[in-house]
Amino acid sequence: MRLGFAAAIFAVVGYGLVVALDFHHGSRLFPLAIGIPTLILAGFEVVRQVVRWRRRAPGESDPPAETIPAVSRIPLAWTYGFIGAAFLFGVEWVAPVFILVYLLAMARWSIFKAAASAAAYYLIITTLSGALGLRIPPGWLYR
Amino acid sequence: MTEILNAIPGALAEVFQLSNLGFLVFGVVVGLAVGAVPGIGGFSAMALLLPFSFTMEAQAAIGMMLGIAAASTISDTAPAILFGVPGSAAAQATVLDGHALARKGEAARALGASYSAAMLGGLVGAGFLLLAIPVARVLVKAFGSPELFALGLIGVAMTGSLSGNAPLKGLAAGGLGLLLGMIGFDQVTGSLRWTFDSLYLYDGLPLVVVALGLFGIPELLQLMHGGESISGGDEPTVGSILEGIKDTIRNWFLVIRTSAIGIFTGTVPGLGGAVVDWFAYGHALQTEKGAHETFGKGDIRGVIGVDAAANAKDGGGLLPTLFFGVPGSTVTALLLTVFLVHGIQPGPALATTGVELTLAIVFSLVLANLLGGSIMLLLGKSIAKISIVPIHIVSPIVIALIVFASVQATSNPRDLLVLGLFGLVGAMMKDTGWPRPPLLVGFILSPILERYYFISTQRYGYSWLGRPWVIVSLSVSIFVVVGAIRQLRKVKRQSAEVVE
Repeated sequence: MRLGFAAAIFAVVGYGLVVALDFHHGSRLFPLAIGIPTLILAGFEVVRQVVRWRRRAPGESDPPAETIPAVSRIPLAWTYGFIGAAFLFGVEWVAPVFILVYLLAMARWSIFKAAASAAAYYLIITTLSGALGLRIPPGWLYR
Repeated sequence: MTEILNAIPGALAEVFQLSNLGFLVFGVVVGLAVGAVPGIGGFSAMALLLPFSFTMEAQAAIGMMLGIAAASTISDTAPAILFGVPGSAAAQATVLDGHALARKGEAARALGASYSAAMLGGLVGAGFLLLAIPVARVLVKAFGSPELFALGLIGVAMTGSLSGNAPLKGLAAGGLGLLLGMIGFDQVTGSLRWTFDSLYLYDGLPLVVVALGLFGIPELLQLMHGGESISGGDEPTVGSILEGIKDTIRNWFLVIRTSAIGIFTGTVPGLGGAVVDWFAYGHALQTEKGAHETFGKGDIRGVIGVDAAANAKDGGGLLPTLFFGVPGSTVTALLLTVFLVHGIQPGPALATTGVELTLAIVFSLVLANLLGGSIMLLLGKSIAKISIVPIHIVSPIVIALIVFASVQATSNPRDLLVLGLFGLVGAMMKDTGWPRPPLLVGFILSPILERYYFISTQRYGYSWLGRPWVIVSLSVSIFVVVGAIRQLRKVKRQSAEVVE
């Protein structure tokens, strides 16, 4: 994962630099001045990870930077499922539905408690948005 | 000076007039409420109440607006500490140690330290505004675009010290942040950079969404994976508010120093409130004993330094607004509107002919900070109890709030794609040991650096490199980099000794 992530950073910065070569003269000064050293640093990190990977004994893995990983399947599925649904259908309706489903499935709450929580959230956010004149955009499908 | 002393009784009478005081209290309550909700902040509430302020008495309107501005920067640390979700741009660095403390079962202590430091920082900022009245003109005019560029460089140099034991990764992350900050319209030539024909990217990536993605999502994913309460363990605790207050008092010198940084950052128009917390955090990290080993893992000094600075900047920000009519932020721009609508003409003359009004503003700021800080300290223990609620009950609400805050950035559903992307990047950075603060600092500083570099060069050629404040700032940048390298060597030497 470490090597993959370092390589991804290297690739993104490298691609950005290639695109920046076509910028207007004045516009490419900073991207190049920052991008070239960044690419070198990212490349250095890739090389460092490759060397570590080659030196590693078979079956051995890197010690984790965090004791509890942030990237794990179930939390990712819930979070990104919600973000994706909110993007497509709009936050206003998806958020209370997500709260309801999550509380039922993960917190094992009764339907009454979960529905009350979702309704409370909807009421607070709608009141706050209305009072402050905040705009909640519709989903991408309804634009 | 005599003028100032003579004007004090009149200013106090104006502030403590019942109706004025009532509107100030109302402003504080509204500010505390909106500040605690991520992504909203005091600006929205101020913008909403702006039309109402036009029909109010001048002092009542100013008191209400100052109440919102001061109080919202006190309460915005609660989501940062409890969920790792920055409540506003000025609460980004609070996440690092504040949330770590909450996860160690010391949420109340972190909140106590945060609120008391914010209150003291606000008072120091107001005190500075009072003392600066006679020298306001000289102070603000000392900073032109070359000085602002050089100050931005200090921020970039700081990315090294914000990188923990991975300075190369930190510098690469900082560079990536600087590049990401260049997406959109180039302010100098007007051409487009890395927009890929997307209208959404013309204005660049929204800072709030990037910050929520980098910090909010990874912390939440980690909490959800653990499945326990935020404070964790079999018998979760929240610590004591009083302990946090004592921590702040014990670290009074840090409060003063970081408040000075906050005031300075606020005073300089164009530097922006989003960098103040990182400047303060970097300073505390560089100067506090043993900070390199403990910061980021739940060191209370990381909370105190940041929150004192974030609130002190309000006093500093009023200086150019009042004496030059130059607002340094969106919040002070709204305050300026209130001044103008009520016939108050900002300018150097306020330092001589409008002393009573200026003092009334200072006293309102003091009162708003005292009131806002006290209310939050009283509520702190109850707020901290959220950290012992099982995470599966808290997490759906928090995710929903993060998503709600994100779509407020540009009111475009594409904000959610940016949130998702940076959430994933943040989570991978966390898991692979890449420091996240340098990326965000680079992202914030990128437009500042580029804009002021081009203005300086076009206006002065390269002669600006010899200006005194530029030389001082460049020297500080070098000092910061050398300090970070020395600290890293020290840590490596100590680790080698432990291994031996």
